[in-house]
Amino acid sequence: MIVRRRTVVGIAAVLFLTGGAFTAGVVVADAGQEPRHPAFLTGADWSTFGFRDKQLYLSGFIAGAAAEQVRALAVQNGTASDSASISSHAIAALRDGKALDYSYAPSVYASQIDDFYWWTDHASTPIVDVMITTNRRMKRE
Amino acid sequence: MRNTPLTVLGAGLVLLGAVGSARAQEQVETTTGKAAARQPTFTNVTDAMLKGARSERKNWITYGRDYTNQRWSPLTQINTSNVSRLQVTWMYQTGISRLGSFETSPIVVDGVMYLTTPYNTAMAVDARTGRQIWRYEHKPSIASPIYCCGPNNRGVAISGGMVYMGTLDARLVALDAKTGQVVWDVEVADPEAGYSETMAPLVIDSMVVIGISGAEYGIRGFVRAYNARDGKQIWNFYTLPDKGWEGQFATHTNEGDDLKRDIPAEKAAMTQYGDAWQRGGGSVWMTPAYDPETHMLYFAVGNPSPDLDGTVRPGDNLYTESIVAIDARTGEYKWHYQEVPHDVWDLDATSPPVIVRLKNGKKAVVEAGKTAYVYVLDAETGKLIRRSEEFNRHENYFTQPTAEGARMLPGANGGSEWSPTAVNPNLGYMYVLGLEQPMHYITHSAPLEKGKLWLGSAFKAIPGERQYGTFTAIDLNTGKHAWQVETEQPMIGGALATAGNLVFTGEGNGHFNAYDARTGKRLWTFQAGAGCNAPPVTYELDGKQYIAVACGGNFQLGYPLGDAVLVFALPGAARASTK
Repeated sequence: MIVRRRTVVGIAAVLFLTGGAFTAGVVVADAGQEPRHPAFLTGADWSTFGFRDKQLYLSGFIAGAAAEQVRALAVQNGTASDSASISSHAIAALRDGKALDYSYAPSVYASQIDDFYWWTDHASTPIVDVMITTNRRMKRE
Repeated sequence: MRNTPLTVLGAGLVLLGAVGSARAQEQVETTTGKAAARQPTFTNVTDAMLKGARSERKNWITYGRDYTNQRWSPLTQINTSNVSRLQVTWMYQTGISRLGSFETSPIVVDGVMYLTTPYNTAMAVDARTGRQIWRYEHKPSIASPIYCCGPNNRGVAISGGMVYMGTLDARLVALDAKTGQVVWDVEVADPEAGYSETMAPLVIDSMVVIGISGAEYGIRGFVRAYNARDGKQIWNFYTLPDKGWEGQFATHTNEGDDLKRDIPAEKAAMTQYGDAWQRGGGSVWMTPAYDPETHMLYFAVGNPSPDLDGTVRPGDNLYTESIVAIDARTGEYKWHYQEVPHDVWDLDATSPPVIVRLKNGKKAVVEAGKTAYVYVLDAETGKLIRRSEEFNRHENYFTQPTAEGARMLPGANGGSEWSPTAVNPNLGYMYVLGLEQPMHYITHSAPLEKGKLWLGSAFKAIPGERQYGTFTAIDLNTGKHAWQVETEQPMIGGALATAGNLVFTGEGNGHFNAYDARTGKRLWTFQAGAGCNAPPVTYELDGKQYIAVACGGNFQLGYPLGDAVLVFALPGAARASTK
């Protein structure tokens, strides 16, 4: 429910910031509201994404997850101060060893997420949560 | 499936190989003790044998029996006069723990039958008795291989003492034909990018030729040749060219059907999506046909990616939905014939192309499309000689998908699905399995039926509308129906034609049938207890003709699953009666 309210507010905020005209009945954001964090986008947003939007969103997600994975690994290994431990080279090493947590291509995840949101009662689930559970399932199978 | 590190996988394969070897040794010793003459011989299949498969009577040594893909056997011991007496000789149950569509086409060489199952188990079986000789279970290199339409495998290729299998995790594996031990194992493409293998490879001049699947996940399709000895890549042909992928923005098919395309919108979208060939699909689902005289390799290329959303892939999307000819020595492009430019209905070219000689002496390449037409093309130039009469109905053909759902026939499964056709060259007939499935095409992305068809696409069988199948003999010299029979369910699996004037095929309800090739009269049927949805083969051993078929159902169409290979023969058939 909170997410849904935020959706309306967020869209309104964007319209406000871009000088869009408001008609009667549209919820107007108060000045203190910030645009939603990308982690809280849901199936409602996913359904408005085009092909390229999905690819870009998921590419960013996968890149971010890989960066976080090498960071966590570096902390665990006591090499967090070594810049090479937290870099694209470190990610490449994990990828070559088939050790990345989020290892599938954006198009593969996009297809899985499409399937998940095909069920209309899934629409309020954040995309991030779908990614986490989908990836966990794929890694387990 | 479990996530297995590569090192463990390697060790596991060695161990499996050793077990396979021990089993094979045990089998040979046991058999030797009973009757030395009946021992499997493990013949080394040579390039010359593959080239001469057409005239060799007894074996079935490549996917389509010979390079033409005609699935035609000259054996006559089982024929129209005696097929009613056909009975089960032996049955082999694979014993796999997870079932799926069982689509294998057995390879049989001098008493040894090579099979594959869903999830990539391969085995060698004594073709006289059904006794297992060895077994190889492929452990995927990633936890969850991504594949469309079920965990299928359609069979192996054999050459030079090795057996070749493509795997769901997009690898090509070479096994020792005697033991099942892994000789080499290479990655064809990245399985985590959605690439997978389900087709049976083809061996030509010591090269293993294999296509790729994955157009449901934004891959760029290809056909590749590997050195049969060591797995090193020799050439690659992308099914989506980086230049000219958009084609001519055809408003009509080559045969004149209006595609109802919005050409201005597509041209406008080129700015944004001009690079869509990089992820534009173009799977090669089925085994090519090959002409050793001209070195031409013919294959069918499947749907563009994404399946139904044409707005993000403007243009004709060459060479998707096409028959393509290349030089098998180099992978060099020769010609293509596109059945559906800019497809948004998933009307793939999937059924394997077949090389035939027409009555006028012309060599032709023939393919049964999901479009429910058979295309007869000049083998040299790719020009259309004729398109057959429809073998399934057309309604609202090429209507554009809508948000509400636009009704159309044929549906997304065809027409003809991947099912291999068979040809009786004496009659000039091609035997085609067809599906009558009216469907709604919907513009937003959604799977057809959760857990049944995993295409991520918006086409849906229409509730309440009758679905059924067809089995059609098409005269390739005229394009007309010679005969057609209706079946209670849509047909998928494949056909076999023999010189005994018989044609065999199976149904989802478990019936495995023999028809008179001339008239379509059903002469014999057997209830297998699971869908017979795989291509039958035939072979001869010790003067006895056998018919073999995998009856393990089809997951996409909901036909009962199983894991049995059934082998039939006439009771007490005389030796050498086919000479």
